[in-house]
Amino acid sequence: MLQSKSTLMAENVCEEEVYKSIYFEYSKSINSFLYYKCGNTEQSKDLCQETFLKLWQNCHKVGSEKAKSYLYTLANNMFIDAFRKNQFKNKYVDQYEVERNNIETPLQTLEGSEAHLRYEKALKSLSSKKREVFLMSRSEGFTYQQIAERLTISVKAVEKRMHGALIELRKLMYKS
Amino acid sequence: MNKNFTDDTLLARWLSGELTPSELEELQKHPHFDQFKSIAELGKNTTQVEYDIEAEWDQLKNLRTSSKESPKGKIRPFIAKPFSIALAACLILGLMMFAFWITSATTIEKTTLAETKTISLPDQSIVSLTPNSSIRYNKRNFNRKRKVKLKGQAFFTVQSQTNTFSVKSANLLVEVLGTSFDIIDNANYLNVDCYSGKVKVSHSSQSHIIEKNESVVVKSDRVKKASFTTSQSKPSWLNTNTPKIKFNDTPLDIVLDELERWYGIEIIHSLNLEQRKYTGGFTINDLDTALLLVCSPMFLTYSIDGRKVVIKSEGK
Repeated sequence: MLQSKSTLMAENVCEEEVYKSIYFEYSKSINSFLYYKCGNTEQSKDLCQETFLKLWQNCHKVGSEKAKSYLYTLANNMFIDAFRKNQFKNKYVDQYEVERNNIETPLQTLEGSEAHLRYEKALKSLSSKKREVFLMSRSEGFTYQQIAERLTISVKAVEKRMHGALIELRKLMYKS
Repeated sequence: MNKNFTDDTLLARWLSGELTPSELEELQKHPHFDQFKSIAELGKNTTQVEYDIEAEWDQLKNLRTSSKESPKGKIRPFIAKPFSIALAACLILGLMMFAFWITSATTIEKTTLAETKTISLPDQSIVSLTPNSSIRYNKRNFNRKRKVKLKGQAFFTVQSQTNTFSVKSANLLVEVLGTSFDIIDNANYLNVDCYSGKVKVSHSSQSHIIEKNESVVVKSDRVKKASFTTSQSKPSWLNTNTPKIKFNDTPLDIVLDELERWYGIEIIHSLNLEQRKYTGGFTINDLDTALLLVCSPMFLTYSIDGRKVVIKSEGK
């Protein structure tokens, strides 16, 4: 990772090799980020493609060192546009639940599976801002600093959302 | 340690290992500590999204090449025929001049969400537009035929002249000789308040003539005449000190629509509100107070998140 970071310092994104390395470094996370928002694998892949396509079309406007936060901003806007145009028909929340419930879980005990279902249901009810920070941290393993850079917010804001996510998840799961 | 946290980043810093030993010890005494631990574990074990990066990259390559070769990039060979070009140019020019002449007279004034605007018409009548509204009129012959088309809500102060001044909206037609009135036509919210003079309001085939401090309101397709009290000669949203919007027995879903319009926000709720009626009002220059004035008497709670407001029943 360190090596690729140094080659990306202020390079021309319009060059195929530079663009390709940006893609291979960030597209999986961007796809996950969009998935946290819409809960639908087809939609998130489509929006991810459109995000990187937009990056390609605007390659002259952004330096490679800014590509990371630019991509997250683009992805966020893609999602908002698609949501406004009602491409999700307001069922995205249900879709999120349907998809997640169909995924095999690694947890073994009976009690564990029930907790997992409650967890997935609670995740669905979380606000999108809290959910994405929580999953970027726990599932993808980003540090709060890395999350802050990507979402262009302060580290404090990330910590607040993370803390809030835990509080809310607990309330939703344990109802007390 | 009590149940509620005073530090709103504590749990985040706990998970990143940034707590001091004493902070950690305190946290472990928290009644819900084990629950937080389970949630953190569940988060860690959340299955990641499937992503075949090589396949997606190939697909993206195709998208990129097809987008860069858009027709704008191609130069089409153009064989010139002098006469037909000259003719086409003349026709286009003529059409442009004609279109310009026709449309330059049509004047449109509009407001976006949370924007108000006051303008004067060629006959010196004045129109104050509320948010998300527009008027359209013919500038050139306005003094002969004073006709205005309205979408949304506006307050008209009409100059006294011999010819009729008329305002036509989707569902209402208001004709006056010289008067002031507040007309709102937002599909299911139809109301005309007269502040001075005499006004004739028509809807479908019914019409009423109203005078100062009288109003026409359309509820479930019935046109009713009512009276209202005011200490001013203009609607309360034009007050300089505390501008506000007033409602009398109005369905709550309409009140929330109005909140959205005046503040440019989006209200999210899953409540059934058409049956509930609201009498009161809200300020138009302070969102928090406005929400309080609407929600509190109706036993609702609200939370603001940027441009979104979530409304729930109290006690949920």
